[in-house]
Amino acid sequence: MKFPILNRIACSVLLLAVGTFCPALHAADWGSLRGNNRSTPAPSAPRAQPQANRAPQPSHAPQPGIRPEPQPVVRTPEPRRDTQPSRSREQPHVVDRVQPRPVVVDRTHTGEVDRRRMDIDEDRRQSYFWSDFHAGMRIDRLPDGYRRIGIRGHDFFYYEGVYYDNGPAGYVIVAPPTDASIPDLPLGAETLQVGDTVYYYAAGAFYVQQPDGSFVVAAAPMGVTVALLPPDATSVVINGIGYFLADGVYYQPVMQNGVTAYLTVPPP
Amino acid sequence: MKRLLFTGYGLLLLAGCATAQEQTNFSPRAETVLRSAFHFLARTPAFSLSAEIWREHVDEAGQKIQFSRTVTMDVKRPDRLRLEISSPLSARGFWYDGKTLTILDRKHNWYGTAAMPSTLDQTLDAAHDHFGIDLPLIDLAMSDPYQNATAKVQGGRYFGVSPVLGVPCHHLAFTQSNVDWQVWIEDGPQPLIRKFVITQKNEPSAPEFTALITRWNVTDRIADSDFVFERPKDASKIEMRKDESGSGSVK
Repeated sequence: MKFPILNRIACSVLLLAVGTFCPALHAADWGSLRGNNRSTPAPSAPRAQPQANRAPQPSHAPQPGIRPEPQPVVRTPEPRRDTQPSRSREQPHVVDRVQPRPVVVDRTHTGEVDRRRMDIDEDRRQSYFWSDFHAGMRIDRLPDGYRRIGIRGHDFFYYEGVYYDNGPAGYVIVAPPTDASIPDLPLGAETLQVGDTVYYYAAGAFYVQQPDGSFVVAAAPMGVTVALLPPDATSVVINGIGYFLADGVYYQPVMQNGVTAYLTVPPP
Repeated sequence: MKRLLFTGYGLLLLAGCATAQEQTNFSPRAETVLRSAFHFLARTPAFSLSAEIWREHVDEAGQKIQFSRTVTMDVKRPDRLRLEISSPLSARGFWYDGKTLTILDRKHNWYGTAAMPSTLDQTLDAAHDHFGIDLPLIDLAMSDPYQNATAKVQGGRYFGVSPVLGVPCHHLAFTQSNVDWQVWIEDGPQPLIRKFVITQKNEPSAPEFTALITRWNVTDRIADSDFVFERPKDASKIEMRKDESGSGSVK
């Protein structure tokens, strides 16, 4: 070889040039050309996605403790998978929940995507099922598609971010119980990076994904900001400073990316 | 092997030339109309406008949902800005008085402040770079809006005159590597921007940001006092945090 050093340099430069001339990574959706043009490129390593789960067979148990009442049968396009012995059609039945096919989003830009969501989340979040509920509310019957979740010998019920417990005349909505395990995140869950741990936050619960792909309710990490308070947060003033308290966790309002957000803080 | 290397050298050379030249296909008509509009704006010492902005979001199922806000903006060059951004669910005010940026959450009566540079251009960049604050339509407030708008343009086309809210406008479209954008500029003695669309073409389903400017006033004299934040009764100050890489990132 006559020019071994030059060959290596040329190859390196070639590779560098290819990387440089690749189409620019997309920017976040800023409401100005200035904002779009100044946005930093995303890191090269793609961020891990929550591992997709196929929803396991939900519980077919009838509404416990509830006297069956005539209910119209809700038919879905998917065939019913009725493995129950024949029982009254008046029993509310549990149907398989069909997950919409997830959109494949380039999560190398998760940081910027998350930031923009804080500005428009108030609009989107009102459309999620869990936004209409808060702890303490009472309901007569569980929604179709509910799941039974056993935690330390006690049964809770769950549907789309909302947790239910048996009540005196129906069911009562409770705060997300720690260690509750669900196969899929509720729609609208925020992704939060805390050191090496990824949390998912929705409807007042912080979830951590498990090795089997499920999501477990974990204790709230400190020092993170969320766009929306838990539904049952109450306002408290301590030493002249306003906080919100929900399920033993204190949230302090701060201004983040031009909007109000809530920072988890230790008890003041 | 030598042939491959020489081919590589050649490609590098061509690519380098292309980069240095920043190939642009700019229609002369598009450039003329755009330059006229932005130079008019740059020479206007103060102006105010009202707009409706629409931002598309692509949800988990791939459906595009639009969310809207109303925006009012007052600009007094070179160092004053006032914005109100509101929707049925929120209302925020922004004040820049030449040294401080204040943001008021009207719904909760909380406000945050941050020291800023002494010019509007630097402040808008600092708000974006350090606090991740997205102020829509700030392109109109830049001291050299033409240079700001065309800094990364690779091509521009002219599509004739079409109406925006009944006003005949020149329709222009531009392309960049990161976004495409379109602008509708009033056909008349005051070439005012009436509509602006930014397309996030590299994101799934290419969501768009749209601004419809419903009112312009370029003759108002705006007092400096209008850009000074007056704390509402019982408003509480909260911390304005610097931008983080994610919505809850903690290192």
